[in-house]
Amino acid sequence: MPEDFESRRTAASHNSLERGKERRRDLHITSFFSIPQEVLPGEPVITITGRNSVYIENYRRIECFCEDEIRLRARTCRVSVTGKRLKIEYYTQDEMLIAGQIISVSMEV
Amino acid sequence: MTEGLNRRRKGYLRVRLSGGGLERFLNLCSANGIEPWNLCACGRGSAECCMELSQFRRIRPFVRKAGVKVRIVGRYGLPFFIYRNRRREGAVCGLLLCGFLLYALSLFVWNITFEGNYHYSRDTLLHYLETLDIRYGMRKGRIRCEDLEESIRSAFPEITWVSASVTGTRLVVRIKENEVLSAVPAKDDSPCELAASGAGTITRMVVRQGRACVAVGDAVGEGQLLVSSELAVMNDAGEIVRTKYVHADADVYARMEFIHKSEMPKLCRQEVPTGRVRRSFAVSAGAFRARMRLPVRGELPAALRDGVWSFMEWVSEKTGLSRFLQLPARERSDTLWNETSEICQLRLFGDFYLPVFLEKTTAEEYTFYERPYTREEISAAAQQEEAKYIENLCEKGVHIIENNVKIQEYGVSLLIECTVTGEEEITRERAVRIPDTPNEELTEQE
Repeated sequence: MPEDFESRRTAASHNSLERGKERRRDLHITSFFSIPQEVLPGEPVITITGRNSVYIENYRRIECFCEDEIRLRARTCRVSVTGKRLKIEYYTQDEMLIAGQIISVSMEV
Repeated sequence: MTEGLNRRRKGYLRVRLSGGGLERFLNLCSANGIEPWNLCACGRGSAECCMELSQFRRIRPFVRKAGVKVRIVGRYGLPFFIYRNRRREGAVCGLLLCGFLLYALSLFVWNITFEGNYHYSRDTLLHYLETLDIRYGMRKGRIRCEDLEESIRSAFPEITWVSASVTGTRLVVRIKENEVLSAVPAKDDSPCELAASGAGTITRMVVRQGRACVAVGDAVGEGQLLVSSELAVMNDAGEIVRTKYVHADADVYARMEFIHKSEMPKLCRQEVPTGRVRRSFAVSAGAFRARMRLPVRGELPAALRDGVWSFMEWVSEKTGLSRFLQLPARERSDTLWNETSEICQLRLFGDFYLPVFLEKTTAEEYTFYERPYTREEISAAAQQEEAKYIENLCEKGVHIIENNVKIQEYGVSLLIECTVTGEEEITRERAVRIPDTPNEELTEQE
């Protein structure tokens, strides 16, 4: 069992290193070709319209859904939308429209 | 909107999700192509969302996996509506009948529209379509648009482009008319002379071809020769060798007098509205027309005494009989009404017109009395008549020099006499008969 745990941990750290490398490579490519970063696959695109709607593209999964906060996991970060009477108008595998009284949209790694 | 209708057609559910792994369940749904919408949290750890019926049938494994409880809160859409009303045979029959009726009505043309016609009126074109056996209420399948376009183009030379199409229950004929002359008139070179079209005094004349027979200042009568077509060809000795006949061409203007007389009655009819306004609504389909006449405002109690049905009419135009609902209405026969009607054709949507017409009529009651015209009114009427006559003359190309109007009493009416002096071109072409003479023969030989 401990061996198993160790092997999983090693695999996880290896994956995280791989992701870091991929990200650095993507950044190099975008800066070299002077292209916007949103064209890279997996970068979250967040569009805020007024105080009442947030449109998010390229999220991975929903981490928390309640009336005051909706937290999502994207490829490179976590996106947290806080507000009042929040609801998800619709969502698909890639995009989501959040409606309600938006107070803040924050991101954390 | 289309998406909403589609969802209603397929049927959808409002479900309440509660229990542990709500977020996990939502992630599983999106990963497997199930897309709930209108997702809102309600209370602690529970949420409500809408889901299509077909997708709802697929969520059982995810519900077990995520450990959530699902409870149906509402059912919406056509499948549920049909299920709820499965025992109402009459309603189902009515719906089927309605559908069949709409389908049957959609096989015919119930509206004919022309677009882009300025020169040819709608009535002219409709009349022409009737000669082609294309009319209101005919089967759509019998209309051949290509043939119709070709027929219109060949029948009306001024129409350069035609497009006919049947959309819904409507036949639309789009037309483009020629804005310039389609053909240059051929120049007529046949010998002719110019005669006076009316009596007057010649004020100016320009002769381009032919021999002038009158001069400026001469008084001419109607039919008098003004410019002759005969031209004498002389030799060096001054003798006439031959006579040449030409197409006389000249501008001859004469001062003429135009007199116009018209009559008007001495008494005028004055209409006075009484203030009673009556509205009626009618629905007509084919030869039948049902009309509901509302009582005059403020007279409803009296109308109710007569019975509400006294205001309903069911008229068949074919038989000319009022049937079923009409009872003798107690309307005063000495009243006069000015009626204004608005008619519109019923349509379901877009170009789906139905053979049903809605009519809204507003009738205002009036009485009238007769009184003699005042001096000012007579003068204004005379001036109006004169202006109208002068306008007509101007359209004919008459240059107005002087005008007078005279009003005379003539029995029970007034006689308005307008005398206008103007300058008008008075030439009128008249064919000449070429005499069969040796001179002419010479001409022919040459």
